Amino acid sequence: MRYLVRRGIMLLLTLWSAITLNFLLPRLMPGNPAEVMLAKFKGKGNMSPQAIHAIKVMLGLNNESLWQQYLQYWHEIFHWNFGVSYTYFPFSVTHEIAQALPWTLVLIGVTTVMSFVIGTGLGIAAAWKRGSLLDSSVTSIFTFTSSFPYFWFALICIFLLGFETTVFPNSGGFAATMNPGFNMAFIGSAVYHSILPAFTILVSSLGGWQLQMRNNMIAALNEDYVVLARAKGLPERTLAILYAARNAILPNMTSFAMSLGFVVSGAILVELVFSYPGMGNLLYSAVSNEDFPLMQGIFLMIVVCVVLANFAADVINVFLDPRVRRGGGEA
Amino acid sequence: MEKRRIALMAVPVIGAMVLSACGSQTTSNNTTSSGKVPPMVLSVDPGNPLYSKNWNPFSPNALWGQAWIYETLYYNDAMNGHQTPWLATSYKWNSPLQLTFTIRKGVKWSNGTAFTPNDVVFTFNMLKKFPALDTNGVWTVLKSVTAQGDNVVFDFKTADVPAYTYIAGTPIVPASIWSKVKNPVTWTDPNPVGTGAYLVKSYTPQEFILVKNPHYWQASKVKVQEVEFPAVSQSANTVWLNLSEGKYTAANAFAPNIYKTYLNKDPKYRHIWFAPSGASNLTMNLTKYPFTSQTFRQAMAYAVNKPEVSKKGEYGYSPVASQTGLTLPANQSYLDQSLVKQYNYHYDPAKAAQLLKSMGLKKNSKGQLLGSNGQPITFTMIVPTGFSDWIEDAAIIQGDMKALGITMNVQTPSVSTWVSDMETGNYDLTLNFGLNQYNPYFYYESNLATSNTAPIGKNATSNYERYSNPQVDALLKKYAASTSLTQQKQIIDELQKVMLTQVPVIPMFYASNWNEYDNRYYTGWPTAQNPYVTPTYNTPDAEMEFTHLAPRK
Repeated sequence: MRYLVRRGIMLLLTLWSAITLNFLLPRLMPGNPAEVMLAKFKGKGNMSPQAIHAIKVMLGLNNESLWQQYLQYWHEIFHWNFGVSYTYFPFSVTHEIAQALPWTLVLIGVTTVMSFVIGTGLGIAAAWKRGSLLDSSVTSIFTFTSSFPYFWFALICIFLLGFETTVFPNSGGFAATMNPGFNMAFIGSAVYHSILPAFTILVSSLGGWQLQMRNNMIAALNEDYVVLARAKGLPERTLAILYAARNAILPNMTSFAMSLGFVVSGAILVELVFSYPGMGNLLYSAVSNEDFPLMQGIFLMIVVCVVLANFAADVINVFLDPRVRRGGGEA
Repeated sequence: MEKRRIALMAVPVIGAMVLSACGSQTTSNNTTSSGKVPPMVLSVDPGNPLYSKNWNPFSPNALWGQAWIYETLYYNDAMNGHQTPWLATSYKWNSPLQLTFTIRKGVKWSNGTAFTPNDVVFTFNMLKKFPALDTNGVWTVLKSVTAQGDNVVFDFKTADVPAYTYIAGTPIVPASIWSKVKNPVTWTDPNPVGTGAYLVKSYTPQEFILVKNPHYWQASKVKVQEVEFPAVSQSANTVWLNLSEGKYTAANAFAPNIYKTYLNKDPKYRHIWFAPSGASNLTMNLTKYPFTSQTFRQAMAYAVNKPEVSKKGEYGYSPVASQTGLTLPANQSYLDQSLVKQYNYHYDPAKAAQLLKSMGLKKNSKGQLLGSNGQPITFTMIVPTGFSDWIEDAAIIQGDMKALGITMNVQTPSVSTWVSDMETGNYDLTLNFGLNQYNPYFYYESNLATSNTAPIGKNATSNYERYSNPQVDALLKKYAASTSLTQQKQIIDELQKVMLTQVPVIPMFYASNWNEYDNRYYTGWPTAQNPYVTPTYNTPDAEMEFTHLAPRK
């Protein structure tokens, strides 16, 4: 219990410092958003020099002291108000995140879980039957696929499956003629559009889980307690799953919790390549437009989710690993 | 520019893809004979990646479709200066301090109510009340806007004849609707009511469709019934694939090799016309040695290999600019041939070396050119990261400088750092966009007026090189107060002379308006031979273009 309380205090401290950093970093960056906006529009049309003033007025950029801005910032966080996005003006940050988040949660969330489950499962199987045909084929294929540059692989997929043979759409999250809503036609279209990105994510991420699990598992299989269990004549399946895998999965579990936390940040490359309307895309445009409020809103979400996921991983470890419970916390 | 940034990393890959895709063009050979015309599809409005439903014509993030819905008093072509009466039938300068527009009768808003001079007055007064909407700053010179019968009278507090361009180009909105809006700055205008040629037929976050407004005041000229606007992908690769596949009737996409990607797939129907816009300038910080020296700047103008920059750096899309800063050939009538001949700026490294020698600058044993303090001359050129063409340009200029014994470093800061460095004068040398306006006054005013500059460390509005000359200011002021074409022309002559003798900036090339179109089903597109409009698809170019397009018969 003491262990959990200490973790809880750490959690709050981490949150505080992360949120403060989140406030400071964009303000320490050179340049300012009105200028980015102006630069954007200069390329597009004719804007008089007065335009920058108009834009500053519109975005409400003012020259308050940093301390005042900081207090204001905390106030807004507690009211769940992240201000107005510069890039998507006059829409609010909350509105933009609410629009993008479901896409990411579904696509990246589902693929992350699938990739963990399949990858870890295959890792266990490969380690258990190590040296077999299964082990050598799966492991060598995954070593190969996990070293693909994602960008290249996704482009090839788009080219072959979305352009040469138009089996799948080459971009977007749903058919252009549709309005998002809860009806079969829309959900069907969304699923159809997500197959190609999901496939590319799976191919490039499965390997990591599989290889890590296989290595952990092989190490665990050589432990004395496994040898003892085998000597006792326990069934193979019990031995593999309950003895070896249960211990070997601990590091994987922690990485999994972390990557669940990172789900909300989306997968920038995936979403850019496929023009997928999720958080990665939103984050990319926020950063490239120096959209401070939007960046802060997104980073805050990521930070909170990652910290909470970490905390969850700690809690789970307490249950999975008796050493953590007894050792007083140095896990 | 956004598209180019992504373009950077993908060029080799996509080049190979497009090449190998040559065999796959199938779709389009069979529909004209049956008389069925496929819908017009325009690839112009970038989704981010989805559209945000915002039709407010004053919002910088408005959907591009608003240009087909809201109209302006006059259409002034930014390239050739042609004026076409639009919501106004005529205009007149009563004095340099008073401008009168006569408002067109019989125009109706798309909700059926009549368009009146009061709508015009309301629109301008709204800009006054909400300065954030006044992106062209018309109220920095205006005193009042009033309706008098069929006329709207603009009174000025300071004479500014060129401000006509901005006044005539302001979209007019209906008073009956906008007067009820509490804050038009943040309003997204969900059901736009305009006077324009098109109405919103449908909207989804990835595509909107406009349909012809049957009650449009020049409805007989509008022949295209529907226009589809799919959100342009953020991924340049997807755009190029769609372009090469022929999914768009017209697009404004940048592609590094437009012939391979687009034109050669269907040379009969596919065309491009990259209309030139204002000159992009090589901008020198005039407060820093050696750019403080006029002779050195002249030497620079000879030393920089503009044809190479245009051909290699800009892929041959953007023609070499005149040192006068005039947009040629559109501004040909302003050009002072004898002056241009006298200075005869062209790529001539020998002449540059000779000018440097005349300054008393010598090279040391290593071949480095020494400045007046005896140290080798070095400076740094900044170009924004991701602008791949500009970075290539900088590399070419770097080579030109090296030939003279000058060390030039190239840095690529982020876009915002680049802008902020230019504004505060924290740079040696850079490339920058010029204004795209027919009237050369705007180019000279933004680049040369003291009012547009600021001391180093303070933000300058557009005169980033920090040129300041009371004589030039007086000329600009005189121009702004003059309604006489002859006098205006004389002043432009004087300003050309300043550009040629003092070289405050070096105009490099005329930036292009990317524009690809397919005339298999629709004809009447603007071309270099018939440049009736600059194909930017912005207000008010879009309406002008769509009163000329028609399905192929």
